[in-house]
Amino acid sequence: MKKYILNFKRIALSLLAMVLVMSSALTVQAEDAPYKTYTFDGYGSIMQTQTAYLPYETIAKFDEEALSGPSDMCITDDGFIYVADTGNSRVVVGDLEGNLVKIIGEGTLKTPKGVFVTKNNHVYVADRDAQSIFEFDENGDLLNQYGKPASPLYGDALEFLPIKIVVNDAGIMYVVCESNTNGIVEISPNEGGTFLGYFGTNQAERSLQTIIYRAIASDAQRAKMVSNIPSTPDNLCIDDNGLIYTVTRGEEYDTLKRLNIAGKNMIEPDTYDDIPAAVAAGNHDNVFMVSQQGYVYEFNNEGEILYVFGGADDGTQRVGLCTLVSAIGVDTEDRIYILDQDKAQIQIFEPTEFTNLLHEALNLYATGRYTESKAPLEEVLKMNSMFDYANKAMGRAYFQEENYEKAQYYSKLAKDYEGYSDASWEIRNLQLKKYIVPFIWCVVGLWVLSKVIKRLDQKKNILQPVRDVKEKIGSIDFIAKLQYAWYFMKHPFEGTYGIAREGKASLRVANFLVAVFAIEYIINKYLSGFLWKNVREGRYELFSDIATIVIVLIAVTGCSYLVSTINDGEGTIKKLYCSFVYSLTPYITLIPVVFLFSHVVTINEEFLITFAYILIYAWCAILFVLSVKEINYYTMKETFKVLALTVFTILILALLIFIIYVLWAQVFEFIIAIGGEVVYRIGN
Amino acid sequence: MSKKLVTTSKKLARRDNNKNGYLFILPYAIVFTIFILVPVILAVILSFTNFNAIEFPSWVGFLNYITVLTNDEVFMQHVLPNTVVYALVVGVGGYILSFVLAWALCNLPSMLRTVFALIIYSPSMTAGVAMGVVWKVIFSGDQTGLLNSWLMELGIITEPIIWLINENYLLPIVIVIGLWSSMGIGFLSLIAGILNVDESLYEAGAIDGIKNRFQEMIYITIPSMKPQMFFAAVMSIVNAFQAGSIYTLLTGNPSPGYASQLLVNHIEDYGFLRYEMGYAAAVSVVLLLIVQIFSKVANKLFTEED
Repeated sequence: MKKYILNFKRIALSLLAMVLVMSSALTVQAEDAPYKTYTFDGYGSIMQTQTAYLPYETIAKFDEEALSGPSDMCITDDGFIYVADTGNSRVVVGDLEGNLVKIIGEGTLKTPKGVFVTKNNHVYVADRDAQSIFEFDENGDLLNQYGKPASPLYGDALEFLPIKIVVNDAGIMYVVCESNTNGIVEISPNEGGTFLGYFGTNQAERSLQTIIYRAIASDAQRAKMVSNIPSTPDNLCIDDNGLIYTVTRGEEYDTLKRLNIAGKNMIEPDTYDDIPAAVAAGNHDNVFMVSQQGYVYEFNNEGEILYVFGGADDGTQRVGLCTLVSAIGVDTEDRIYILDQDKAQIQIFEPTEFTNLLHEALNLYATGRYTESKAPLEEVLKMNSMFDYANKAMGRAYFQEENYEKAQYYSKLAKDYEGYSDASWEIRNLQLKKYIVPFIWCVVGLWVLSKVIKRLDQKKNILQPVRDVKEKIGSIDFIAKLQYAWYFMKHPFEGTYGIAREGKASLRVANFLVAVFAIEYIINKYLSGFLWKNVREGRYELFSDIATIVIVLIAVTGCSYLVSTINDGEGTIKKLYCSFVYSLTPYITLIPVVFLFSHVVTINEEFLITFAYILIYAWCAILFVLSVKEINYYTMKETFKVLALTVFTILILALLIFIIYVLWAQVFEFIIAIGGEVVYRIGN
Repeated sequence: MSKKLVTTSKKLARRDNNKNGYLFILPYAIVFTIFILVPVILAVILSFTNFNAIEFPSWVGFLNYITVLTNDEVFMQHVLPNTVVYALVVGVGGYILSFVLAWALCNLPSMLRTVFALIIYSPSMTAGVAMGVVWKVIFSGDQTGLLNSWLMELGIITEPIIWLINENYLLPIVIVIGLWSSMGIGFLSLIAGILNVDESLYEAGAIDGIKNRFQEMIYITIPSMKPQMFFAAVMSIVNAFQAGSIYTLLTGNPSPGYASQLLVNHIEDYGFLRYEMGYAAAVSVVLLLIVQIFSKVANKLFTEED
């Protein structure tokens, strides 16, 4: 009794400690962020993580100059914010603390929609209503004005309504224009603006349906169809290497693109947003995308998502939530600036310790300093050991260091299949190098030994006792029938005949085979090699697996029997059951081999596993069809008819069971309700 | 005549026959020895040496084989998987295809059958020419290439795909061509085998209750042409593993990213581009062993009697 109490005390203490730890962790996590931060785990599902950025400050006015419907913003490396103050027809320049520096373009600009500042502090403004791009020098004096390109290639009927702009180091302007579906307009500054062409055009989405329609439609019909126009990018930014990022609304695959100089997309982001508003390149090869409602996505240079945070203001007016975002920017300190058009203010977010460490690691890793990147990654993992990106980078870093065991460990944590596969390949190769020569000698030795034994056996019959034992075992009824499964698998035609007419199978053996099948199925499902497992690590649903096997087997046998009896079939339920179970023999015999292989095979040899599965399933299917045919003594045509009917019956049965289940659930609920009522009344 | 005399005369007669037999086989035996047996033996010997085609080969023991299995990452990562995929698809697929086609042809009248057989057989003889004339035109990487042009006309793609550079498409292309040209000697032997089946068997089968052509094929045709089936199987295995040199016309050697590098390409790469004859010889011995093993398996499958 005492011991029990002691134990109880200990448990209570540890529980208390846990609660304390958790609550302290919670307070650290919450830290006044009005939103949650998410990341993606290795299986692609969303997962909450530490707060990555905290709301830091809000700039509503530059000194006394308020903004009105600002639609774009540019942050320079020397610490100034340029805001396209659309409603007041000007560009406001302030510093990062919110002090006014100067005002540009008053009187010149009409509706400045986009602003960009080059490295030598020239300000480019895209003015929609003036239908021009204005270039101001560092003092705010107008240098150039570029109107609609004169080139016929631009299109005569098309208006020039610039709304967003970026400029590369060579002074070439990339302009997003309203109501221009051809793509980003590329203008060179030569000769007062030369039209260079369209850039980064999105692909029109083509569903399989439209492809088929278009292929079979006549020209006249095709002309009547709604033309399939790609959506144009809505916003863009340029990074230090001159790569251009674009965001597009309403597209699933082209939401965020990273375009090289040829206009070719180089990333495929993990996720997308329906209404992305703006994009900004970070300082660590990372990129930020913000949606109109205020969700901020941070991606690494390969389009893998690091964080999602922020959100829409639900009327609580809390700092950090937005109503209508129009621009995003990043300063050299990694602070994020979000321009809210509706609130006419700039919301600043500050990276947390966690994010800074991650950025440091990102930087080191991207520049190829893998060994150095491990230290910050370790810190990141200490704070959140399940942060998949860090695990993945860690795995890759160890791989570069040729520490393959560790690389394999971290890749597995991150569900980084490619990294895991590469590491396993290297480990296997090392093992091969070590053991291949002795292995070959062993094989040769065994071969010689078997030859010698065979020779001796021919002369002196030394294997006679072994043969006797084998024969004795083979003559046991159970074993003989088990061996028949093997024969059945190899000779389906004669095999089914044997079951149908000669009673070569028995229920006992069939049940035994079902048990073996279930065991193998479960082992293969949960314990096969990491690369070939379709279930989540550490998740087991043994009961439902076994139930599925049993139910499927009963349903198939029962329904097939029901259908075949009313279709002149000669099969009995026992024969059908036995032959169906015997049809699983290829699975039973080959899956152990596949299972063993799955632990040594890497993605490189994927075809081996694929071929094996194709072989197994095709073989089982053939055996199944043939057994239906032979047991019932059908022709091929009748067989397929019965099979189709069986599938239909199974579906009907499933529906029936579902309905009955629902009805009974109602009945039970009713009874329980009555019981509850009675208890209540009596209790009162 | 006593019994003893008879046996001696029989023995004599046999010896006589033997002599004639050897005489008959002599020309072939000489040619076989010079052009096949000696080169094979030399290759096996060379595979134990380091030979650069200029200096005298130096003996290195098993080093080449150990290198193949442990240090040649291209071999393990690209060549071996490619070869196995190719052999499985083209070997097995080509075999099934030849049987189906042979069976279909045998249902045609004799004149038509000959013409079609010739047409179907010709790719396997003229693969080199056809590669230049047909496949290069089909898989040309610009919009004038046949396949690109068709796909663009149908609206499936919007810009031409450079088929012969793209690593994703190389192996499938090579496999398609392999299947197309897989109707070789094996195919002819299958036709011969199917035509050779005794007609009376079919009649007997019809009386015994065979209802359709499919059952005829399963129960009569295939069991009575096992030797031809076996021959065709061995041919198709050998062909599948030996393929490769012809594709260099299309994809070059080594192919882009080793995407369609087969064993034979690998041998050519080492033998005739790098002049590492010893190593190339070792790889060819490995190829020989692989073919040998698969032929053994085929033998087991087709001659299994019960």
